[in-house]
Amino acid sequence: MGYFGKVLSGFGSLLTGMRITFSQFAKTFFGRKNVTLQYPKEQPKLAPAFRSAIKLIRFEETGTHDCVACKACERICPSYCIKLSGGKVEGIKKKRVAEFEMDFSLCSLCGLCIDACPTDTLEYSKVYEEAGYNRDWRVDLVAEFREYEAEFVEKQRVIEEKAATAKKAKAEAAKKAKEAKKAKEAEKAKEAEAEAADTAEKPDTAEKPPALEAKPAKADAPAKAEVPTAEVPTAEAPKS
Amino acid sequence: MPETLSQLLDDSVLAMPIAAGLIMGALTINVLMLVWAERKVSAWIQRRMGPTEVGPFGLLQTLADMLKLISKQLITPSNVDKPLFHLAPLLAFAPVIAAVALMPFSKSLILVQNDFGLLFVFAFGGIAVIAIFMAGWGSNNKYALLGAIRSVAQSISYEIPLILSALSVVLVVNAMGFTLASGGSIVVANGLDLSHIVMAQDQHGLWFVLVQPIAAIIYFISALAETNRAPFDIPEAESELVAGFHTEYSGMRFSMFFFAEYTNMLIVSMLAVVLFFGGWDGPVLPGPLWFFLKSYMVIFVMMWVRWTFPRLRFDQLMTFCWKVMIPLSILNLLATAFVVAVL
Amino acid sequence: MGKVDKGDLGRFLPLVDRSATPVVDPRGAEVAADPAVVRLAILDDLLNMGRANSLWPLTFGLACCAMEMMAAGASKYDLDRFGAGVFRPSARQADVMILAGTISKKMAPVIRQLWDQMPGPKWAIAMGGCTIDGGPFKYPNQYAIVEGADKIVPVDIYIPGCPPRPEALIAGFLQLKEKIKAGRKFNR
Ligand code: SF4
Ligand code: SF4
Ligand code: SF4
Repeated sequence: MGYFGKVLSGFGSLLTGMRITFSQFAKTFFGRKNVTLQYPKEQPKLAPAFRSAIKLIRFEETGTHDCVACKACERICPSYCIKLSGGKVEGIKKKRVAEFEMDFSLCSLCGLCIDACPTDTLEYSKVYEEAGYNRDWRVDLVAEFREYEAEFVEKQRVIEEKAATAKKAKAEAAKKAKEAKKAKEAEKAKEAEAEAADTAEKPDTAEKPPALEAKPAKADAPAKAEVPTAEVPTAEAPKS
Repeated sequence: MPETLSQLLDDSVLAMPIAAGLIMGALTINVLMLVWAERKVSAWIQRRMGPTEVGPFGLLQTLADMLKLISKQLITPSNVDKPLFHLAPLLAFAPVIAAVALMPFSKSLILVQNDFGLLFVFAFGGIAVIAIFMAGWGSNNKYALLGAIRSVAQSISYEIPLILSALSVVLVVNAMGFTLASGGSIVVANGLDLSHIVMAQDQHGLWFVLVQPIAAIIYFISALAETNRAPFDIPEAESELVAGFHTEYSGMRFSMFFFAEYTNMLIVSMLAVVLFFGGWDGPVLPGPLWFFLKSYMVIFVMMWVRWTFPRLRFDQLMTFCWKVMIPLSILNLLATAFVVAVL
Repeated sequence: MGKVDKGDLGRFLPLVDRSATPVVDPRGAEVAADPAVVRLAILDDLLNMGRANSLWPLTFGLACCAMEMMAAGASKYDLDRFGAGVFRPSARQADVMILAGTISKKMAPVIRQLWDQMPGPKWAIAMGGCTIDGGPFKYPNQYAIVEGADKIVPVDIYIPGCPPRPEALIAGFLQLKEKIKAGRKFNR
């Protein structure tokens, strides 16, 4: 390719570039199509995974959040942007958060607090257009839940009372069932003994029951034996 | 009844102020519109909207910009060369107004009739280079100085193909005798007179872009370089030189450079229309309207080029000028001269 | 447990009242009734309109937030719709400084110099947590960053987030516009 060939091919490539930009121009100018999202007039569609500053989740069942003021989030936050206080609430066993202060301007949206929360009550909010004249961006996350708090406490108290009475009933039932079982076992043992031996030597009641209790514990999972064994009789108790 | 507007103005004491006022007003409106158009065209090429919020279609956007620039603080840095620093914007500003006055808007609407209009336009273009260098030197700023040096080197290099391509048109015009419409007598055409160039095209119904296509292309490319437009905007290359020669200028002084730049665009495109696109020549519509329509079409192409191509490197710029543009324009001129001499 | 999808796009409830309130003119009704003052006020309002609608930002980014600033200037969000799309490379021609990113102590003097080079009237926007008060890089005994842009330049608008979305930057620009249009009758 000689000198003039180069000049011509260079000119051709310039024209190609201009053709491309003109096609875009025409699409916008004649076709009236642009890619601009006119923000204050239109709102963007946020992706489901969009992250903004954290907030407390409002659960359907209780109508409020489920923060127990354990401070796991406060401890794990790498930016020191959570400050919360709370604790025992009059009338209920559950602890509740009283003040949950989050500094939006410090948060790096890392999500560690969300992972750390034992009650899964934190999530990313979808707040995306915050701007203001003030440098103070501390926000009170429980503010919107305050009015529901009394209601929640009342509900929770009822639930806890119910649970307590149910537990008591269950415990009693379990006790009864246990006693009944014990009695049955004792009877069985008596019968067996009676059948086995003629010369009557009375069985030692203090020795046998531990042996009986150890048997089902071994049959279940060895480490977490306590929980299932505690539940099994209670679950069976109402039926019997 | 005075024949041309220039004669009317010659008769009056108020000639100078009236002409200056007219040109200033027209040019201000032109710059306001061009800046708006530039932003809109760039937006449309990038599939966005451009200014929309200020006024209908954002038309008042540049007015707002102007209001703001007027009310901005004028900073004079402490170590500048004060006379040069203050004079430079004015010197960039003045010759462009003078150059516009020479343009033949129609057969009768010529503010200043001059037999050597073409030469004057190029001469005024040369003064702008001095202004830019003054700005760069006077700012006492390395970026400004580098920008100014680049600008001078570029302007001097690209003036050669610019004038050579215009010269081939002059040769063609000079070879034609033509009839002036008013007199009916054969007049020797003066190729340096801008209105004669247009009349020659008018007479033959042939735009010189068809006679001299290579000259037209060379002219257009050199004109882009002369006005420091992208892809030849290395004097104000933002990624290397902050803002080039006007780095230290703020407020109204900066807007004077801005004004000069956009008016320069208008001048080179008007000259392109005169030289290659038949000036006021066109059906139905009145002459001046055709003239401006064509000029703005050329300006649109300049904007289109700006928002298409990336900036050249300095060595590429120089190589392109000295190895491509100048040889081509000399060859074109020689060929034209040969054809004119033979015919 | 199911969640109620409520208040998702809403705003946070701030601890302090952040709303802007117009201030009563301390000069009183007498001065305001003076025709000369009124005429000047109209001129002032006109200039303020111009300033508010032509906010040319300074081209510079400090860290990650600058990416969102660029996105705001690009086609999808197009800051140019509000006349704020002319990013000027030279501080002498800029009106608003968008502090987008972490301000290290090394960078602070440079920023202050750029700010001093800008001609008045000028404004600053602090974009992102880092420029508001140090953001993610603020911890006890840190030695590297400036905790808040307002320690070096007077900031007008604060935009939280890490990084804020381009919409937030546009919202910030609109608030700045309101502030400029209100002139001195504005308390922040
Ligand atoms: S997202 Fe990260 S930085 Fe933000 S509050 Fe949670 S732990 Fe702290
Ligand atoms: S980790 Fe969860 S439950 Fe614990 S204090 Fe934080 S938000 Fe509340
Ligand atoms: S606020 Fe977040 S995104 Fe912005 S500069 Fe700081 S770390 Fe980067």
